[in-house]
This record gives sequence, structure tokens and C-alpha cells, in this order.
Amino acid sequence: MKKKIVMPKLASDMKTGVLCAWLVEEGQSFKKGEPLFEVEANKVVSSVEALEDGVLISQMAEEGDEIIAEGVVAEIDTL
Amino acid sequence: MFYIRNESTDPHYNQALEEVLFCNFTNGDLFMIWQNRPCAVCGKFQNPYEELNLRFFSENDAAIIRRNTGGGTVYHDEGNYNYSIITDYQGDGAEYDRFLLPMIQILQNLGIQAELGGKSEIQIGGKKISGSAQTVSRGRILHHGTLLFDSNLRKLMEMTNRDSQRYLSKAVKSNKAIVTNIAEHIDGMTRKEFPLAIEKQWKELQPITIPEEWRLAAEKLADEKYRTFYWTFGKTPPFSFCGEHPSGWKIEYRAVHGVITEFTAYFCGEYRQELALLLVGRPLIYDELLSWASAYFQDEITARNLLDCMF
Repeated sequence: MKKKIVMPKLASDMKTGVLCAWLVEEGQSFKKGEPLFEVEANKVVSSVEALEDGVLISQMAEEGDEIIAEGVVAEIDTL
Repeated sequence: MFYIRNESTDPHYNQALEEVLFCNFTNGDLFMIWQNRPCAVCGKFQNPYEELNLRFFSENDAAIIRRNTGGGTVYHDEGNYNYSIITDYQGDGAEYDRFLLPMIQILQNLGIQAELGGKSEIQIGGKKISGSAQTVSRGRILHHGTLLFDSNLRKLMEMTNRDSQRYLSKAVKSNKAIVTNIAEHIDGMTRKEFPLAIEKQWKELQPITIPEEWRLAAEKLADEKYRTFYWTFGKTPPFSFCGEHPSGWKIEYRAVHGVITEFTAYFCGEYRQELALLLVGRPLIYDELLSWASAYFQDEITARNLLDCMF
């Protein structure tokens, strides 16, 4: 089933986060708990982990892009 | 809380040790105090070319380190203490108050008029004495910060003396701050006494030694990651540069993963096409480019001017 992955709102006052690094490439499969990408907000680097097994269909943001909290960054297909 | 007094001042090893501890110390709380010999430490997603005066680092034998946490570039030397805290993440993003307020209380107990500055700084009278940053992974958080006790502030200024507007990239930028040394605000405490005073004030520290297995893992990680061009410069987000130098050089280039991918040079208005052929594909390593330019031009001054224009 296709699903969207969003920029997590990591703190109540977080408005945006910088998507700093993709850790999974398009077409690559991942397991639940594996880190998908890294975010920097308020000098905190957070790795965002998969909530379920799946395949990354498309990265919808580039490394270095500042994304609004809860904005879409990727599309995945869950297994 | 477990406590490690890390006596190494090797910045690459220390950064690696912190990562090994963060990955392996998965239960309980850990506090560590440590120092680095003179070096600059950049945030994980920064452009060191943009942040630093690379000529200064070449001439002063100071290291450049890329760390694992966010934020900007800081200067470390023997007058600066670093502290790290590894514990459970409580799930509310930037948890700075949780770590900074106890440290501020300790400093106040020592008679230092420390106060919170912004979200992640400690200040005295509006001047920064401590910056901090964090990383969060798998339910754990690493918080670390600096404590400027009696750092060489002149060197700090020289290190960061950059015309950063010549660079264009998506890298995280440093915020410039007015800084002061703690030693200027406390009487009768030496550099060596300061960490001992912090240790005494921090509640219920239980000293431990670094397990040999983790120490060896940190040495390996220092070699395989933190000392490499791939990590320190290769992780730089792609950037473009455009600069001029009074000697007559005008340079534009683009670099991806720290390697020159496009290069255009003019000297006193004359297009120097041959330099593009020679420089595209070369890594942006200051000392190597200076050696190459010195050999190519057979003239130290021309080589130095080219490098001063490029960095």
C-alpha cells in the first residue's frame, strides 16, 4: 500500500526541519526501525526511522531542503 | 550517573569515542568531560570551506573535525572543556533546558553568574561561554557542549575569519556570537581546578573507565571515519564559489563531495582555460592544492595568491 512519509514535528515549537541526508535510496527496501533520513532542527540531528517494512518509491525532497513540519518528503510502498 | 574523565586530547579519537559510547552505552546515564588540542569542530551538515579560514589551519597545524550533531562551528583548545551527556530521549525535540539548567546551576554554585542564552547557549552578561548541540537516535539522546574557561579568543577569531558570502550552498550556517572566558568572571580558580569543581557539583557521579573494547573501537572509527577526507570534507553539501583577489585572480568553481567539478579562472582579465583542465576532479585539500600550484607556477607568490582567492 502506498503511503506518504512526512517531516516529523519533533518539538511543539518546530515549524520546519532541514532534510540533511537520505539514508535510503529510491527503490531500496527497508525494515521497520531502520533510519530513512536525517533531519536537523534547533541544532539537533535526528534520524527518522521506518514505522513498518517497505520500499522507498520516491524521494520528494532533496538533501538540504528546508521542509515545513508534517510536509511530505517521500512516498513508500509498504509490504 | 556514570562518569568518564576522558584524558585524550586527540580530537579525532574523542569524536569517535563519543560516537562509540552513544552507540554502545544503551542503558543508564553517562556524563563525560574532555578536551581537544586546538581544532575546529563543524556541525554535521556544514560546509567547512565556507566556515573556516583554511590557510590558518594549514599554517597552525590545527585539525578540522566534522561532528555528529547539528549546529555551527566551534573552536576547541586546551582552555576549553567539553562535556557530553548520553541518556534516554524524552521525546520533545530540542531538550536543551533539561541539560543546560543543571549546568547553569553548577556554574552559579561556583560563583559564576551564568544564565541561559537563547535555546542552546549559556552566557555571562550576554556573552556566550557555552554552546551545545544534540543528536537523537533509537530512543537515546547525546547532548554535548563547550565550556570556554580560558580559550585563546584571538585564535578563535582568526579561525572563523571568512568571507562566507562567496559560497552558495544549502549547508547549515554558523551563528556568530560574542564570547567570553569563564576565567574572567571567577577569582582564584585555575584551568585544572575547573573540571574538578564541575565533577564535585554534579550529582552522584559514579566514575568508570572506558572498556578496552570500546577504546579500540574508537581508535578504529577515528581512522576509518573522523580522520578521512571522505567524512570531514566529502560530506560537505554541494556548493558554488565565486571570489576575486587583489592580485588579479577571479575564480568560480563548483564542488561536490569536496571535489572540484567545474572551474573557471581569470588572471588580470585573461581566461586561463588550462587551469580548468588541471583542477577539475581534484579534491579541495588546501595543502595539496598549494603544493600543486607551487610546482605548476614555479612561483610561491602566484600559488599563494591563487589559493587565497580559492578559499
